[in-house]
Amino acid sequence: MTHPEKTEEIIRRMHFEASEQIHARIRNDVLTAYQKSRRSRSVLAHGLRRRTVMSRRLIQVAFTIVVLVIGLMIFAHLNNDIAFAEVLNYIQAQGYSFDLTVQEDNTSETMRGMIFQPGRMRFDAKTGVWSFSAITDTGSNKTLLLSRHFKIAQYVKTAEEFERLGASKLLYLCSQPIQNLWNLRDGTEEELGKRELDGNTALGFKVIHCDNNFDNVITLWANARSGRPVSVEIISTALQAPGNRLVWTLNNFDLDSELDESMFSMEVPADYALANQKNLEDIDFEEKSDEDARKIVNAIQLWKDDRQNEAIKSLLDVNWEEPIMFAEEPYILTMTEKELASLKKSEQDKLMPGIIDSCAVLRKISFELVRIAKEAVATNDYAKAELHFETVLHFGELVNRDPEAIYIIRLVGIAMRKLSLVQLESLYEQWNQPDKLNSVRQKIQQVDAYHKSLTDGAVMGNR
Amino acid sequence: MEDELLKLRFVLGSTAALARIYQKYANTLLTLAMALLNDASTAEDVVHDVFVRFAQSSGRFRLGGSLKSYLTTCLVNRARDVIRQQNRRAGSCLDTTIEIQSPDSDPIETIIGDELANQANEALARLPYEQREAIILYIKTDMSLKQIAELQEVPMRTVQGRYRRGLEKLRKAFAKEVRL
Repeated sequence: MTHPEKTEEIIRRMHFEASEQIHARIRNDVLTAYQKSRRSRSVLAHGLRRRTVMSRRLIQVAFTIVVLVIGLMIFAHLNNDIAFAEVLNYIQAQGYSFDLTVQEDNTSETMRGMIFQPGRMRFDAKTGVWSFSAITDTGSNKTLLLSRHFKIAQYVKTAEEFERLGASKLLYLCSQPIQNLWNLRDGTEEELGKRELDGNTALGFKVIHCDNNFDNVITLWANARSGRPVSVEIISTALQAPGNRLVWTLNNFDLDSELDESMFSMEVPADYALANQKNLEDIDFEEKSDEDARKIVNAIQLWKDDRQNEAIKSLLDVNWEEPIMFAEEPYILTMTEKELASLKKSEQDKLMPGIIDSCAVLRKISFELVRIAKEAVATNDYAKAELHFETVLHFGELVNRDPEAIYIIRLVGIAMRKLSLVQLESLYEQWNQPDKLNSVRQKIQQVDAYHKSLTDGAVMGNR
Repeated sequence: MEDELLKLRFVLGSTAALARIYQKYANTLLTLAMALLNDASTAEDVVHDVFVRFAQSSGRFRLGGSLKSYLTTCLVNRARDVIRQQNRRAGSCLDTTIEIQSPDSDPIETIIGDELANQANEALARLPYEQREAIILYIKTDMSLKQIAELQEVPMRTVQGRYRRGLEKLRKAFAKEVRL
């Protein structure tokens, strides 16, 4: 079959389209040229007006005024709308920050988002009491998660990895809506008209944008005169599960502050440990436990072996006044949170049951010592009661001696100290020991302060 | 009517109007440029230049006349400049494809259409530039032969001749090459 008779039809239907990137580049150049041209023209016109002397000056002045008034009226009517391209220039530009709130069902989280340049972003968030930073470089497809509380870093790819380090999965997801904003193109928008936002007139635009996982309805509100973004809302509906919906809100834009590039570095900071890298044997522990350490280790083991009385006896025999040196185990007394996080997942999985079990043993031993002490109080054997209460206190202080110890162990230590101190306060009141009572009350304040600093996330890095 | 308002807003300084003009005519001009030059990147450069110069001309732009014709004329002039400057041969860019806009979405028809379009573009590229220009402008724009004659600064019968001879060559080329 030949098509000579269709030649004109084929040519008529020939169509060529450039990629959206090409269009974006040309469009930006065109708009820039236009704005430059408008600016230089107004300067030139001003200069010419000053130099021109006309014979029929009055007529010309009147005519000029009429033209200007009409022009201004038309201009005001037609030209107080900014173009979507101008809004995109801000959104897709370099160096700005904003608050990002994400809402899923009834929960919501707010974080600070920072863009260094398209492709490089950082989000600072708090999950519970812990602070995290997620730094993403879409060019290298890498995300560096920093646990600022524990100074642990990890290159992460999955939501599970985020959550294992204690961060929220929402932090994992938050780079996607920003990438959607970078991918927006002029000409895809629907104008929503104007409304008042934060005391200024804002012009709205709506874009439907689909990425690999979500169908996104993006609503942007920008200052109607400057085009500077005021608020962006992205409603993301999961393609695979339409019931799953995330609502992202960006506001409080700061478009003028300079951001430090080091905040966007993909290198692990010098004082951070890289998570999930090491084997247990890679961690340096003391080679040998001293005698008192052996008594404590022995007490924990005896308790686990259902030999409670011997365990208590072993603990009561410890000299708590001297520093106690532990070798490798028990890890609850030797390992830091950073060291635990630096272990490979398989190593962590092996250690965690033992750590949880040891925490339970510490709790049970403490309650048993307190029970014995209370019995002693009941028989007015204050010295014996004091010895048992103080053993719990000393043990708690030992658990809390390393400020970088495993987080849950630190909380157990605080609980042991508080438990014993409250009992000692009661004992010294009953026993009429004012000096000791004062000392105990001071210690209670110290423990409360330490507890607060821990739960407020006071131990944080600068980066 | 929309074009009249766009022109007015453009002259008054509306970036939104310029953005809309670009959106409305960029692909039309790209298709024309591609048909005239048969090279994607050169076509994009020409469209880029046309729109940038248009943007810079807001102070001198005359409100009368058709916006589309104005842009088309600018494009043709710029394409001629490029042809003159480069004295380029009629060749094709290997990674460039031109498509047939088809009202149906049958994939087989689309493939056939794409192939036809590429062959048409190849055949066009082998025509003398003036013949190619006359054919493209007459078939793909609203320009009359008289308007094309004014643009090419030749008598109308010359344009008619260019069009007729060019189309005849294309038909022969198609009869010879396009066998499906």
